[in-house]
Amino acid sequence: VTTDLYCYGPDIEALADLVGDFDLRSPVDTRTWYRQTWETIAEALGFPQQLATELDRRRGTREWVTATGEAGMAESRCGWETPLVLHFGTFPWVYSSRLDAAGPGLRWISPSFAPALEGFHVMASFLQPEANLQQDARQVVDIYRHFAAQTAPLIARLPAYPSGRAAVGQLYQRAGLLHVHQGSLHVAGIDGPRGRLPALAYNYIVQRFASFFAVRRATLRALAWAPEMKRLMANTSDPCLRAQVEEVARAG
Amino acid sequence: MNRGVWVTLGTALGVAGVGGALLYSRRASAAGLPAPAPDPGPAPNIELAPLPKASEVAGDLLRNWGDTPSDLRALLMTMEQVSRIEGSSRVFSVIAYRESRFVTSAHNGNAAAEQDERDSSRRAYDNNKGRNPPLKYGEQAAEFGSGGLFGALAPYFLWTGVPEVGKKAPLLNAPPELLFQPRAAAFAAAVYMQRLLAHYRVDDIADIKVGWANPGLLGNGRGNNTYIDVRARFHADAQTLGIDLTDAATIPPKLDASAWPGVPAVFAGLVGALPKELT
Repeated sequence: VTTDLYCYGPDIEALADLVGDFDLRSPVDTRTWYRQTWETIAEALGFPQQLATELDRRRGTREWVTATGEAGMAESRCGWETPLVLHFGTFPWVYSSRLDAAGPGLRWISPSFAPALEGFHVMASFLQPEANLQQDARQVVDIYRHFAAQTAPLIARLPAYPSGRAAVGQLYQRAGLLHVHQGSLHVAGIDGPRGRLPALAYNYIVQRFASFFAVRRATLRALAWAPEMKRLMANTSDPCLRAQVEEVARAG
Repeated sequence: MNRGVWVTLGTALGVAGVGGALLYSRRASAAGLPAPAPDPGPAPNIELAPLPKASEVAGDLLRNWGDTPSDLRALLMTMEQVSRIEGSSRVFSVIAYRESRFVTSAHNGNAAAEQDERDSSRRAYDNNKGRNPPLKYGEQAAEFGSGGLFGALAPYFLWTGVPEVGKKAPLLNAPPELLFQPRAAAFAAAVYMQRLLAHYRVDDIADIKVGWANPGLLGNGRGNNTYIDVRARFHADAQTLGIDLTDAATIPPKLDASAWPGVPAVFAGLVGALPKELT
């Protein structure tokens, strides 16, 4: 039985490869992957030291995987409420069509609610297998492909990273992401017809999509040995998931 | 101009002032003009260590940094820790905001309209090459203008450390492009900061930026319009950046360089070793 992401398309398999693979049966493997994933998030959002302290405190593998949350309502100063529509891949770069260097989602404030925190929980929940499996990944594929199509012309302008011959301050393509040599990713970006694409936001978003599918892939692989995964997928609307469950069932 | 026209020229000339006044004060009686240096050929490609990561420093990288790019905070904190100038990291951040907008490869002098900046580096080189150790890439430095994270003029950047260690100054054989490397720029900035604090009357944090612009403003120029303007810009920059200069928990009211460990130690802590051909 082959459990993989090809049902979603070969580009999705390649996307997941950007953040590496892991096996949920291996505590070391799983812990390493989640640590690296969270370190990447913390580096981008500016809390690496706090994360290091917290991760050192947590020892159990299960704790690394768990992150839950629900979307909430944003309150305006005028008193009306509106649902928060959070594309997990773009949080905290949400709320408008612009992608600023500093994610505006982190600056949401509300007298009675913590929208930034809630948004973060929602984004992080997709790193948890249970929440990940509840999501019809076809929607995620669509959003990712839209993002990739919109940004591809800008990314194509950048040279590939020339190891050992890189120019200081130059923005490069490197391993599917953007890299600024000896400079700050926070101030680098590409100007296009729709405004500036900050390098940091681009990397962060690509990595969030990649992480979603990396978790999906690891979870699919667990179908063969973890009965609870089958139960979690029992009512899925995602045809790719259903096909994988049926194939595993046929294989016995 | 590299990386956008917005890069502020502001106090790049001022760095020259710091370098000029501080760098040469103890070497004014050196020998006359040396013989012209031979063509050094193309500059080697130098690759210093990458920017330090947050995990490599112990200081607080969250409190009172404002919008300082988080991937530069560890470097700025390393500057503070290596130079032993407590509270300097956030001040360096405000200076870098003004000088380069945090673009490490900011270059003032490579565009046609930046002749004034090239004139400044030419003057800096021509007026001082006779009383300082020769620069291997002196002519290139003279034509370079200024740049890097802290907006240093190339000749003064390469002479960093001469007053302290003379011919053992570490950058004498380096090409001016080295100032784009953030660790090298950080080294020069730390040395300038220490000189200001050690040799000039610096009453408060804003006076550091005044001295960065022109150390003469800390003496006879104190209180004049330029002095006031520089201070006002510095305070405005800090406010824009979101750094509270009165937060005593992160920035003492006056910085103190009395624990300065010396140029070699600061160079080792920030830059490390240069390739053999440059030493």
